[in-house]
Amino acid sequence: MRKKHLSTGAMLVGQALALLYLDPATAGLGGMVDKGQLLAQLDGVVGTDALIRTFNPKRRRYDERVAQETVRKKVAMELRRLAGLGFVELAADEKIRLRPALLRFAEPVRGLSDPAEALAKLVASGEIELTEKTRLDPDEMRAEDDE
Amino acid sequence: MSTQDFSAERIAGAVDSVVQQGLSLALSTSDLCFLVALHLRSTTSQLSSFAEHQLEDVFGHVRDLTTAGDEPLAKSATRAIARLREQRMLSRVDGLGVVRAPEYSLTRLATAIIENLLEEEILTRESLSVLTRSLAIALRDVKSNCEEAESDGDWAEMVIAPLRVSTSDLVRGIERRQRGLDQQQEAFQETIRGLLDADWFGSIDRCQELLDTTSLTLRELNELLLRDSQQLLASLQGILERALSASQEDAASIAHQLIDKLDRIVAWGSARQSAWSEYFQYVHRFLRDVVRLDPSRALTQRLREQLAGTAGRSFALAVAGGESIVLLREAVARPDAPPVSRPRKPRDTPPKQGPVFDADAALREQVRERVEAGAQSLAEVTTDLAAELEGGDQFACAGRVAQSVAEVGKPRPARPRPWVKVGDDLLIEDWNLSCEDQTTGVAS
Repeated sequence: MRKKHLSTGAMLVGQALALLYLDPATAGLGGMVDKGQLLAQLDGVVGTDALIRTFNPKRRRYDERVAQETVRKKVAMELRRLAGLGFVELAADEKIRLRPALLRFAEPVRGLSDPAEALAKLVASGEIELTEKTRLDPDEMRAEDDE
Repeated sequence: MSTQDFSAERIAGAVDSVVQQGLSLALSTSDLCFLVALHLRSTTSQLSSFAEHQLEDVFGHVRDLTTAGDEPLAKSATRAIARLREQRMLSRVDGLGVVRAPEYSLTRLATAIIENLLEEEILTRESLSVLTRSLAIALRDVKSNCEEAESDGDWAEMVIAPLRVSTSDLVRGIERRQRGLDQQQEAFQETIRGLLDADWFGSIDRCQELLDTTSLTLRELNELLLRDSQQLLASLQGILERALSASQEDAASIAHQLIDKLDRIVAWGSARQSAWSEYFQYVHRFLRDVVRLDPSRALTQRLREQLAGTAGRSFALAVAGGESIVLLREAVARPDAPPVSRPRKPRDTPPKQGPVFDADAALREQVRERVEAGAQSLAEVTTDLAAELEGGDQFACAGRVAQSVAEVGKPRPARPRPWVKVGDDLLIEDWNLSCEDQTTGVAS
């Protein structure tokens, strides 16, 4: 079977969901969050500008409203992709049920060892691939637009 | 009328009634405090109604506890009593007008509000046992009454009234406590969150204990509901059948409603058990996988840094690239081609002989007939045969007629030959075909 890696956008969304999974507030609610919480988490940790640049890589100048709408759409799309892979479950009313598999996104920083060393081990075992990209690949975006 | 129509009609009627009466409800915190104090005073002192001085006394006590205003007590109390009367929380019960000082009591609405505020009725194993047992006894009595009831009066007194009052009250009691339990569950989730927030690692034992206790309570409740509901439903079913056989529609309708309510209660129990089971598993796993393994919450901090891109290199998870699903076409059975064989009948048919129409011969025959009939001149024959034709056809026909006349007869051209008009556009040089000469000619 062919092997591929998750897109930058999916990695961002996955890590934000993992962070939500670790939140006591989410644990108290039985692991249910909504899209608003996810976007707030991304916005709070990554920052609005970085988030917009990440999900709008081809645009040098952008309208803020359109760019934010694009971010919401892309996040929703990545969320569906992660749901397809079994990391989360999409429930009714735009709710997301977080699953323990999300801790895979925290794998390099999970142990007590140095993160760089853990990363190297994971790369060697073929579980992750190192990427240089900090934004979505334009080809990837085109493919997503076609979808 | 369908159930939905009936329900919509009832809603419209109720809303209309509220609008017509201009009903509204506005209670401040101080009003609610006053009501609560009145309720507590009435229960502790066994008072069924309050005289004005008693109301003032209670109000003064409440005002001391909440805010001390500058206004004289009597004036404030009078206003508060007036407000509560406007809001239908207090009603005058003595009915003596100006004859005597009034007495007031709390209305049903006020009592319901206060009970909702004060009493935390939650479904427990004990309360559910008592309620279901009482319900079972009540239903058993009603069922035996069904056997004895003969007249409509008997049914109304011995069956419908107990079903409508005592039995319905008991079922409502269970439902009310269910709501209490739901609220408790919500509060419980808040508690778990608060415990984890306050003391991440130290709260594990407390959370575990809470989970186990609640889980046990819910399991017991569900078991009790499942077991007792069968007995209650069987009794109600018996009442329903008896009512239907006796054509007592009111009794049957109430029994139906109670069966529906009991079904809802059982479904509620099952749903809560299922939801709780998921929650229980989730929190247990969280405590085991996250809290126990990360006592200092370092993972959260590291993950936050990773997400912000301030720590380490960026990476992507490797996933298996699923092949697209192969969709097979629908199998279509094609018909077998016929075997190759020699044709049994010859494909070519031999030509058939038929009569051939000879236009020249036919014309010659017509000319012969005219000549033998005694035609006098070529112009006469040509007029007969070609006058109707037009243009080139007429010309060609006139030529062929002349040829045929020359063949079948013995024309004698006159000297000089006259030109005779045949039809509108044709002139011919006429020949004489007189009978005398012809006979002579023929004879010669």
